[in-house]
Amino acid sequence: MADRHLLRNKVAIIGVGYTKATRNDDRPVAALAAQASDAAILDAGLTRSDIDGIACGAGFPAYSSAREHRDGIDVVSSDFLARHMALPTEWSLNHDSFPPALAQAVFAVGSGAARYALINRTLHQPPGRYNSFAQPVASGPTEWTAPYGYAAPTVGMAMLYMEYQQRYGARREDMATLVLQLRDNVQQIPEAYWYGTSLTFDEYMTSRTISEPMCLYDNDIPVDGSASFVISSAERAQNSPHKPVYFTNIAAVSNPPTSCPGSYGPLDDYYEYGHHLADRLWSQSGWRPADVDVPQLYDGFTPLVYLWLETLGFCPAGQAWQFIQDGHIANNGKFPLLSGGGNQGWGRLHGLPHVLECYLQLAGRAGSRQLARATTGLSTYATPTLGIGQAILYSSERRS
Amino acid sequence: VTIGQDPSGPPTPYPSERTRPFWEHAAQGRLAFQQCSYCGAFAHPPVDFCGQCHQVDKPAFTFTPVSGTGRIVNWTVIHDAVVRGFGPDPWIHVLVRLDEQTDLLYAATLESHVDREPSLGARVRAIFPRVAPNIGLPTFVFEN
Repeated sequence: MADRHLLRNKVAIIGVGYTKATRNDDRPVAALAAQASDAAILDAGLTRSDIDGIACGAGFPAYSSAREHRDGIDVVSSDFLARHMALPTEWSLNHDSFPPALAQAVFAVGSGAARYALINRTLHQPPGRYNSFAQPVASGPTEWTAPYGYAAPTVGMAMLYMEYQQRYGARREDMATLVLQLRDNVQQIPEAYWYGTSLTFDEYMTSRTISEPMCLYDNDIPVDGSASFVISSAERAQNSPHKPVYFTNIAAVSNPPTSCPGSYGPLDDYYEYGHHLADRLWSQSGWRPADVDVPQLYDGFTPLVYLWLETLGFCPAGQAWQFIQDGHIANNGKFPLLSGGGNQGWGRLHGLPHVLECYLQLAGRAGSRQLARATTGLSTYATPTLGIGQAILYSSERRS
Repeated sequence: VTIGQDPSGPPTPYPSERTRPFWEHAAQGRLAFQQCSYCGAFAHPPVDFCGQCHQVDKPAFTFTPVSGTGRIVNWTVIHDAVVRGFGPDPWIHVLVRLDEQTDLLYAATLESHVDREPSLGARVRAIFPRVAPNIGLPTFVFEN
């Protein structure tokens, strides 16, 4: 088993900035990225000239089609942002996804490669269908998928969820509890896409089927949106205007199983391999699931919440659908799951709402939804099993 | 209408050098997977190095036919068609564990059956509908 993480509480979030998640914004997403980044730099009490490190999640998460990805229009890379904001960066990194980019920036600041690092993720809702496959022939990895009509990841997720439902007796009615709670949570967050729009149990149950048993509202809605974070060493963070929030531990998926194309693999793989990440997270931190005050588990597809709850040990395998019932996950319940609304409340922002909520709660800046107890947090991303999945533990106390 | 000849039909597989033997077997009505010449482990999709015995000095493989029978691991019914030539009717997509090896999996369409629903562990076998002049597309049907 690995040692306790050498970077435990040595790097902190000191500022955040974010835009409202919208559909069909008429500005290029470059504008959102610059707006969020300037807000984060100001929030940290800094100026652009202080930023010497930058990391962006710059992948475009639409699959299968030959789509052009233009910097500043479809995605925003580190190079783009450093150039157009005239940031004097000495360390930079692009990753497909935001939470892994954040983790690398923590390592860079913790090792002294950068003093103040800016981390941005900007998502764009493209015109037309998000996932589509229009080519007459299927080559490369699509050779095994497109001839069967498989292109969108939601189909692989639905297969896993079907296996889960069949094995454990979970029903769509049970998942409705989660989706309605998340919709409720963002009614206090004006920047979230679904702010101001309610959702009823009947609307959830009768919404369009995407891929059985997943309906429209088991998928996050594509949006334009951006958020930035500024991080520094714990020492430098002591001079910042807001209470720093420390990175206590980061565990990423390592040695993932190879998955069969046209699927997300068997459910058993998720329990078997997911425990590797969970074991590292808890043994390196010395924490237990019960120590987490602010649980923000990834919910880009709703069944992922079940997988994270179970593989991280918040409840036994096969019981997450019961665990979330009876007010347990309400903001005033025992387990305020996704108090920040997650992707289901904000739109497809790929892990931004999860990190943001951990920061805002632990810094005491969550406003009307501030939880009574918020000294430790957990954000997760993607799945506990596949290559880009990861989990981050946060603490409001440097000596935790 | 043969699917591959329909100008707006589903995409047809375009074999690569590494995957060509798979499709040559499929055109003859056989499901065949890449098999390590050292340890005998099957792999899908084809690999450059065996994930079982990790022979890295001189990797060697052949494509070996299997029975084409197995059990359903999981499935979905796809309603939202995003690939050309699919929809508006929903169709069943299954992940199948082949009988030859615990981690030998293949995902494909399951032909719907008037009075049978998919279930965990249900037995299926592969058939090979012709979707283009030289392409038989492995597809599953209930075994009995």
